[in-house]
Amino acid sequence: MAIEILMPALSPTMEEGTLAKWLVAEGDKVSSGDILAEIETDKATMEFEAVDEGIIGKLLIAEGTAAIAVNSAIAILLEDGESLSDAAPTATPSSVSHASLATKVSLPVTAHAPKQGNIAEQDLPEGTTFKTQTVREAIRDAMSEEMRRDETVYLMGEEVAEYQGAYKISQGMLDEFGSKRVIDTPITEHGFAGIAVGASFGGLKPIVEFMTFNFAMQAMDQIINSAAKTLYMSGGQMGAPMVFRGPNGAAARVGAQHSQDYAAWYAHIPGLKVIQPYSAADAKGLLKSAIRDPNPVIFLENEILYGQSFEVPDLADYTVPLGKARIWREGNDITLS
Amino acid sequence: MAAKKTSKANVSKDELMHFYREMLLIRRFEEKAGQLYGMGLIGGFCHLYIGQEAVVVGLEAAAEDGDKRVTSYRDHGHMLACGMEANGVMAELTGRSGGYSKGKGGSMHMFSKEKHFYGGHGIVGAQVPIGAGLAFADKYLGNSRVTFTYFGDGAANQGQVYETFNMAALWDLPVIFVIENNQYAMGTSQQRSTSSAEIYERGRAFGIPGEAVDGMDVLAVKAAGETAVAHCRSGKGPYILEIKTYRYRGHSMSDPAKYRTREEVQKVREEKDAIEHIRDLLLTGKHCTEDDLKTIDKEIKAVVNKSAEFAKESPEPALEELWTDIYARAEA
Repeated sequence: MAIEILMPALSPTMEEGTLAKWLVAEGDKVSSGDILAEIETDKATMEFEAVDEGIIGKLLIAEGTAAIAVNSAIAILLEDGESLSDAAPTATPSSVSHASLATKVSLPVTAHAPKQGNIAEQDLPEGTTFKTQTVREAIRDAMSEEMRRDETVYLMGEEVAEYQGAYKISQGMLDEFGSKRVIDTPITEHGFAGIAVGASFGGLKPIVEFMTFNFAMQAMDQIINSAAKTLYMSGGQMGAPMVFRGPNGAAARVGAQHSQDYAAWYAHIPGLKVIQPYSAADAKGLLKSAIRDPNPVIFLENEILYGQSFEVPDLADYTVPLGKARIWREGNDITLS
Repeated sequence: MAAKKTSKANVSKDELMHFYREMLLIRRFEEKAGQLYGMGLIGGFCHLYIGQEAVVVGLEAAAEDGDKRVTSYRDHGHMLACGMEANGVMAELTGRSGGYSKGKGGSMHMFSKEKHFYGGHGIVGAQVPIGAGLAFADKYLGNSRVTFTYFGDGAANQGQVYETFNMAALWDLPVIFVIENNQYAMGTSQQRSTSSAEIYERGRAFGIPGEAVDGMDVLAVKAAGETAVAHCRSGKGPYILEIKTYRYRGHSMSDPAKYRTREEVQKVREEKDAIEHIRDLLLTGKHCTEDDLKTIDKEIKAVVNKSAEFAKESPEPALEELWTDIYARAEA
């Protein structure tokens, strides 16, 4: 009985991917565990393994094809002695519609149309051009630009350096800045958050990445008692100019321990500034401002947004001021900001 | 208190006089603080350092300009020993605007950027990663400074201490972990709370060298401090000093101290007191006379009394201060 090999979901938020390379050809015999193809997700290139054994009857998707929906058929696997014509009834590529996927997230604008938001309301220089960027790239660029600008800014967290970021935010940063400034930590949130607070007292401007803010619960004491309160308790002598950042809130199908939104919690702590951007432009401009701010800033990202594209002003130094609301849409009777 | 004794051969008269003066200042200051607490002038918590003076005085003698220090809530002695003014410390104890934190920190939370004193932290053990972070910054900036990170035998059971040991060793941070083992974590003795008899040996699991030191002997503390500083400053990473000491007073001013006998305290005071030890060396070595020491006592008393007057006269912080220093203003 022929088997359809389907495009796999390789991360909790993956909806589609690129078939970068076939590592098998039609007629090849494959066993369970053999690598069939390389698939690019929005985060990384992953190897895709065979589950069943058989013979590759047909490759339905050509190498290099982008935007293949998860669960579309990409190849036909035949059993020994079976021919492609035997498999005819299933040979037509099927595809599972996105709507049936529980991971489908309804966003206000179609996922792939670059979104501009309401940037025009701001004072951008005349003739400003825009580039299309994902939130992921915008966050990376914000950190890299600030690290080029200020030697005392550094990034630390789990998997930020050699792994290139658990969510691939810090991709390429180790290469550019080296291991002195892009630092892999052990899995020890309480400890490294405290070390970063101490480093900020000592004249540095740390960016601490939490793999998710759910893990920052382990570091809560250092964030609140040490980072947020020291300026007040020292009578203004010293504070913690630093950023704690990472994904927060709902992801997809990861359970209650990986889905909490901490915005309201942190917003109740005097001494902390809390930012939760939506668009890539805001993520970039606000993160740059957060890094320059002399206070501890909680910068809450969202995993589902990382791969979404938006229009970002193509400026050498694009910042968005903290504490000033953006009006995304005016209401007829009321406008929230 | 099994710990090594050091030779006293290499100590000068001036140094002995300095130790005597510094330790006496802390003791008299703390006695005065206890008195002001009893009068209701100091509120909140107040943890006195009486008995432990040799620890900070010995280690400060091993420090260089620019070295940093951070400690817990029992912090008055550390501040005086690193050169912070008695007036500013006492006024902070009374919650007045002339205090180091403008009256907003109190006994447990004081800082001095100028003297490289980074607190004064009220959460037991939280200062340990902070100290390693200060050392991280110094290493990053390449300035060959070291950080003295003080914590007690009680804090030594916090998880973040071992998270910090791991990273300090992994990254060769120039941090000296100073465990001030006064044998009681509040009311719980070391035997009842700590699985190891020698806490410094826990560093071995992380490859951090360390030693036990007689904390009632300021000369032994200074010698051990010099070993630790040399190790850290040469780039070899962290070092642990477990300094065996004893606090004569309760954990805080409100501690009835039912967990130990009066006789136990009295025995240490009579047989091991750090100030008496230096006093004996000065007198038996004929470095000075009783009258010389009395003169010092008077000077110290004057400094302490002046600080108490300052702390009483300094105004309470204005009500508006409740709302300042919560956020730092961004530079224009």
